[in-house]
Amino acid sequence: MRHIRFLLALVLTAGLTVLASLHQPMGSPLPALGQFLSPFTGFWQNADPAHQFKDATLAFPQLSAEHEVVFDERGVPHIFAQSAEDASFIQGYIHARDRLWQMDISVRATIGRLSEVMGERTLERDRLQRRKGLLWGAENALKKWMSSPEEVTIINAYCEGVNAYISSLKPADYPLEFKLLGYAPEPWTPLHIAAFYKSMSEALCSRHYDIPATHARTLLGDSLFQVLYPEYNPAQSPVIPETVEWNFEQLPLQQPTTGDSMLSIGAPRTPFDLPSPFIGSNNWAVRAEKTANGAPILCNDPHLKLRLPAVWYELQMQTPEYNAYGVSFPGVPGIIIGFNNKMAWGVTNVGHDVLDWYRIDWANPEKTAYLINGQEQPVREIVEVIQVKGRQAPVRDTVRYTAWGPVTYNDPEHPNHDMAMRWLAHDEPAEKPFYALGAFTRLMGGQGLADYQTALRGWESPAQNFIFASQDNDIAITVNGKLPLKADQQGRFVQDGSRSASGWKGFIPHEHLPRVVNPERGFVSSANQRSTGPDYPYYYNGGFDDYRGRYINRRLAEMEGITVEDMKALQLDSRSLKPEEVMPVLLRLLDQTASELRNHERVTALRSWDYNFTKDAEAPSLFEDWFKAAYAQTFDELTVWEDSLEVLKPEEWRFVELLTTQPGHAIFDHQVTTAVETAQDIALRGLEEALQQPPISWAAYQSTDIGHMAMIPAFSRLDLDVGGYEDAPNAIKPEHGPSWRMVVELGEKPNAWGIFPGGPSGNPGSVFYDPMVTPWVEGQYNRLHLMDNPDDASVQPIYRLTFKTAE
Amino acid sequence: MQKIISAALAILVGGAVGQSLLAWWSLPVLAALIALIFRMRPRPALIGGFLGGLLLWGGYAAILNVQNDGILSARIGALFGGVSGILLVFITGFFGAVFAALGAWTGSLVREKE
Repeated sequence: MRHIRFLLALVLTAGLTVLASLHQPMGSPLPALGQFLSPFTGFWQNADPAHQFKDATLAFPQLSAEHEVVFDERGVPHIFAQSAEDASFIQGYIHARDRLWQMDISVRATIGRLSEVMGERTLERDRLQRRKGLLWGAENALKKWMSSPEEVTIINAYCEGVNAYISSLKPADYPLEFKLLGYAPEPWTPLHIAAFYKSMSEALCSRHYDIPATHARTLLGDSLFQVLYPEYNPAQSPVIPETVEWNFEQLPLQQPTTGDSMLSIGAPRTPFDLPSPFIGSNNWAVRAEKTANGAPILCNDPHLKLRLPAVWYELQMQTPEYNAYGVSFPGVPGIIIGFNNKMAWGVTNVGHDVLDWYRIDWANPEKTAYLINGQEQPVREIVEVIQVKGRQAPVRDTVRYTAWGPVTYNDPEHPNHDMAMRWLAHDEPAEKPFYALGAFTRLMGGQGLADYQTALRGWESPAQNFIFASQDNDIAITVNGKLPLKADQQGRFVQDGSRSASGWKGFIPHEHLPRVVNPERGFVSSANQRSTGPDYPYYYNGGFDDYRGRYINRRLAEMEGITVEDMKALQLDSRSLKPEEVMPVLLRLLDQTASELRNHERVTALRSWDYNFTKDAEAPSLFEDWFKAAYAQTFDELTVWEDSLEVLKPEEWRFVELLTTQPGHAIFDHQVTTAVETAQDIALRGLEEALQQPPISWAAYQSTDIGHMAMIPAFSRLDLDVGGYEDAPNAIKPEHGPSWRMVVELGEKPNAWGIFPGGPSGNPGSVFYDPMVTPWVEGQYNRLHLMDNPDDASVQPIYRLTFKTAE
Repeated sequence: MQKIISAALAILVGGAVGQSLLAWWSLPVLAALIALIFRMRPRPALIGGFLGGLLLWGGYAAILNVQNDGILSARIGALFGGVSGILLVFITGFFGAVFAALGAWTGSLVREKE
C-alpha cells in the first residue's frame, strides 16, 4: 500500500513535470509552461522594472578605453566613445540588449532559416527565399565589404558587441519571443549584417511587373498597351527639377538591340508576392532664403511597414570622428537617417526596376545546361539545405544558377521554359575605396557638401534619393545607387534568356546619376516619383508614385518664411492631390447623368470635402470606394482575367487622365453589356456600388495596425484612431506609414525633432516598448538632443552605462 | 499547524535559493529533498509544500509584476485568452504550489514506505 502510494506520487510528479517542460505539448502552440511561468526563468523575468533604472559598469576585453552611454528621459542612448571601433561595439551591444529577437528573426526570414525555429509552417517561405538567392546576394556583398579594412573594423566590432551581450545571457534572460518560440539566440556574424541589408533591398528594390506587363501586352496588343500604360506622366514633378541640364556624354549601349520580349510565357503569375506597393517615403530640404530663421531645414519620413518592435532604433553616437544623431537599423552598425552639428541627411526609395525575368531555354531535360545564342552553358547547381524543426533530416532543394541569376521559378506548364531572376541586389559590389557602411560613417562625420558627395560613392543598393542640407546653406539631392543601363523598353517585359543581347548593357556611371545642388527654386525633394524628366539620356522604368511628390513640390514652391512647425505640418498633411484632381471629374460626369444620386446626401457632403483624409471624416471613405469601383469597372477587360492570369493594371494617374480627357474612350465600355458605356456610366455605376457601403469614418475604414513581428495581437497596437492617406504626404496606410518623422533646422545648433511609432525596447515587458505610438498617432514630435558631452545639461539622464576595458 | 508552517517556510527558503540557480523543474525536486531531509509527514508536506510553492512563485511574480506596473502581465494575459495580470500572478502561484506540493509529498513518502 505504501509502496503504491509512493510510486503513484512519484509518477504523478515526474509525469506532470515532464509535461510542463515540453515545448508545444501535445501539439498545442503553448511554450513549455513550467519554464515559461516560473518567475525565476520564464516571462516574469522579462517584466523590466518600470521606474528603477540602475547605472552600471560593463567591462570587455575588446574595448580599448573607457566610454559612457547616457540614456535620456525616453530611454534613447547617447554613446560617447573614444573611437569609432569601440562605438560600433557599444552600438552592437545596445542594439542586442534592446532588439535581439527582432534582429534574429529579420535575418532568418530573409535568408530562409525560419523553419529551423518555426517548423513546417515556414518551409515554403524559406524555400522561396533560398530560390530568390538572398543569401547568395549577402555573401556577394560581404566579399567586397570584407576586403575594405575600414568596413571590416566596424563590422567586426559591431558583431563582437552583439555577441558580448548574447554571451552574458542565461536562458532566463532571453528576450520573451525566444521563450515563447522555444529557441536560443545565435552569434551575430558579418553575414547577418549583409543579410539585413539584403532584406532592405528585398523590401525596396525587388518590385517588378515583367510578368503581368507581358500578359497585359499580349492580351491588349502593343498599341493599346502603350496607350494605357504610358511610362511618363506629363503632369509629373520629378525628383530632379526639369530645369537641370545633363552635362555629360551619354555612354553608348554596346548592344543596342535587346532580346525581344513579345514572348509567350507560361507563368500565369509572378512567382512570389511582391513587396508591398505601400512602401514609400518623403524627404525634402529648403534653403535658408525660404525659412523664417534663415537656417536650412531638412525633413525625412520613410514609409515602411509599421510594426513592433519598430524598424528603427534611435540613438546618438559620438567619437573623435563624428558626433551624429538619428535612426539606425537594429542589426547593422551606423546611423542611416540623421544629422550632426553641420549637416543633415535622409533617404527615400528610388523606384527604378532592377529585377528582370529571363526565360531559360534548357538544353536538356535534366536541366543541367541551357542555351545562349545556341551555345550550351552549364548550370551551377546549389543544394540548399533547410533545417526544419521537428524533422530528422533537413530538406534539400536544388537551385539552378544561370548567367542571369537563380532559376527561381519552375514552370509546371512549360517545363522547358523556367525563369531566372536577374536582380541587381545579387551582384558583388564594384571595387571601391569603401562601401555601404563607410558611406554612412562619412555622412555621420560630414562637414558639408563635399563630404556628402564623397559618401554617396560607397552606396549601391537599394538605390535611394539621398537628400542633404548643411549649415552652410547648401542643399542637394542625388538619385544614388547602382542602376542598370537598359535599352528602350528593356526590362518592362519578360526577356528572352536564350540571347545574350537580352542582357543589361552595363551600369549608369556614378557621375551620370541624376542630381541637383542648390536649385534656383530653393528646395529639393523626393517622394518616390520619377527621378527625372523625359530628357534624361538613359532609359529607366519602374514603379513610381505621382501624387505625393507633385503635392509636396507645389506646397514647397508656395511656402515662404518656413518654420520647423510648418515642416511638421507638411509631414502631417493628409490632403491629397488625387481626389483634388479626380473628384471634380467624377462629380461632373455624375452631373451629366439624370440620376437622382446627384442629390444624395453623402454625395452632397462629398462636394464640399476638402480632400483631407482626416480620421473622423466620412467623405474620404466614400471617395475611396467610388474611385476603386470606377477604376475596376473601367478595366473590366483586365479584371476578367484575374483568376487565371496576373495582368498589370494601368496606373491611377492614367485612369484619371482618360476620365478627364477622353470620356468616350473604348476602355470605358463594359465588355459584357450590349450598350456602349462611357465615363458617365462608369461614374454612376461606381457611385452606386460605393453607396452600398455604410458611411464609416476614415480611421475605421483604413483600420491602421502596428502589428508585432510574430503577429501576436497582444503585443501589437491595432485599429489606431488616425488619419492619413497613401497619396498624401502623411502616408499612413493600413499597415505602412511614416516609420520615422524627422525635421532638422540647421542653425547655430541643430534644432531637431523626430518620432517613430514604437520605442527603444523590443521587449513587450518594457515601459519603453511602445511609448511613442500614441504621440505619433497624435502628430507629436520629440525634441532630439545632440549632446556635446555626457554631462550636457540639455538632457536629464535616467541612467548611465560605463563601458571599459576588462583587466 | 506548526508542522505545516515550518514545511512551507523550509520550501519557500530552499526553493528561493535553489530556483535562482537551477532550472524550473528543480522546484519539485527541491521540495522532495526538503521533505525527505526534514522527515516530514505526508499531510504537512503536501499542504506546506502547496503553501510554500504558492508563496515562492506567486510572491516573486507579484513583486516583479508590481515593479513592472503590470505592463507585461497584461500583455501575456491577453495572449493567453484575456486573463488579467493579477489572475496571471495567481496562476503562476498555483503552478508553483502544485509542483512544490507534489514534490514534497513524494519526498515525504520515501521514508513512509520503510
